[in-house]
Amino acid sequence: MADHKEIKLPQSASYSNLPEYKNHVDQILNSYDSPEGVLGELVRQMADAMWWVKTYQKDKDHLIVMKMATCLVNRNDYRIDPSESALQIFESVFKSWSGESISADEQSALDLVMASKGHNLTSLRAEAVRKSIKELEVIDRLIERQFKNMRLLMQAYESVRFAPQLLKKMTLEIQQLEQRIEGANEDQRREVSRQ
Amino acid sequence: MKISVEKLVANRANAQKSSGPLTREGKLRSAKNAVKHGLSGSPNFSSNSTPSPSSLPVDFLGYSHELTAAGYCSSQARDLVEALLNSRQVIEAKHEAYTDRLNEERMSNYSIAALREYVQEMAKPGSGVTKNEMRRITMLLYYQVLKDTDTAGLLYEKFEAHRKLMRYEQRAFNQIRKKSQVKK
Repeated sequence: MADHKEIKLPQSASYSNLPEYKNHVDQILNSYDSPEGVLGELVRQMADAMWWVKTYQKDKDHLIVMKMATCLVNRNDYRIDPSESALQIFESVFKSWSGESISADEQSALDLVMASKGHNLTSLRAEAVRKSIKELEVIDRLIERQFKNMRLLMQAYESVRFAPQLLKKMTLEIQQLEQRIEGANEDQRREVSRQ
Repeated sequence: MKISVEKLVANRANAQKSSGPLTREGKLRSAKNAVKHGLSGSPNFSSNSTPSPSSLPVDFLGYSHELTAAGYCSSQARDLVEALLNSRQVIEAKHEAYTDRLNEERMSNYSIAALREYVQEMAKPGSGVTKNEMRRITMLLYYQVLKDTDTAGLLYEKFEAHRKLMRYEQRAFNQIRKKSQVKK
């Protein structure tokens, strides 16, 4: 039974205590000259959208590598040799694809498994992408959504930031129009009195 | 596995006999049973009322004053604060949804034979569970095992949770932009 959720501000919510998240938000806030109030809240929400773009990208890569590993090893296979376990293969594929250093033993074990399935690293990735195309489409839509959110928040930021100037300009324009109308009325009155 | 097959079947059967909540309080309570994040419901305060101090975090009340001082009319300031509040709620729901399922909440990598044995052990004679039911329960458990041991699938569950929140996200951020525009 869920009661209506209490809204926590970033300062009190648990996710904001993560050092990585906190640094990321602080960095973005600093780049905007540390605004406070509404503008600060808008920038914090923009930073959150950027955070999700990074997270999605990272996890999307992980998902592909996991799929690559499952293309090589069936997770239900119980193998005695730990070098052929799904986790080991995942680590080797991840290191190999991301350009991290990989030991000669790991590399030869990976090459052996890939050769047994008739794959090289590129064909394996292509196979993994092909198998998870629907999932990747969803992730791409999520990333796209974050960019749209950022754009909307930036527009809101500009509106709030320039609201006082805009309102001042509008007030001046109204005054100008009023003066013009008053002037026109005055001219009309003079014209009538002259006639 | 926290519950025996016998107990599970008995619980399901007893639930069918339930008359549901009878009192007004009970009905109100059970109406909230399916609430997951509260994002699809009505906003926190109605458009005609002023946000009450108890319903808003302190900072958000300050935002309302700040916007009024910047030249926004009070109703527009209130709408914008409400939009900011809703988007903050969406952000919270997103962070809450993007968490890994704990190991305790997942089934171990049981083989189908092991599960069949387990189900047979649990179903005591006289419990009334037929062979067909046992086979179905075994298959249900096996599908759960497959789901719970698929690392890529587990990672994708988090994305799926966010996909479900996407429409609320879209609505919340569109509202912020809309409400922030100065009306002429």
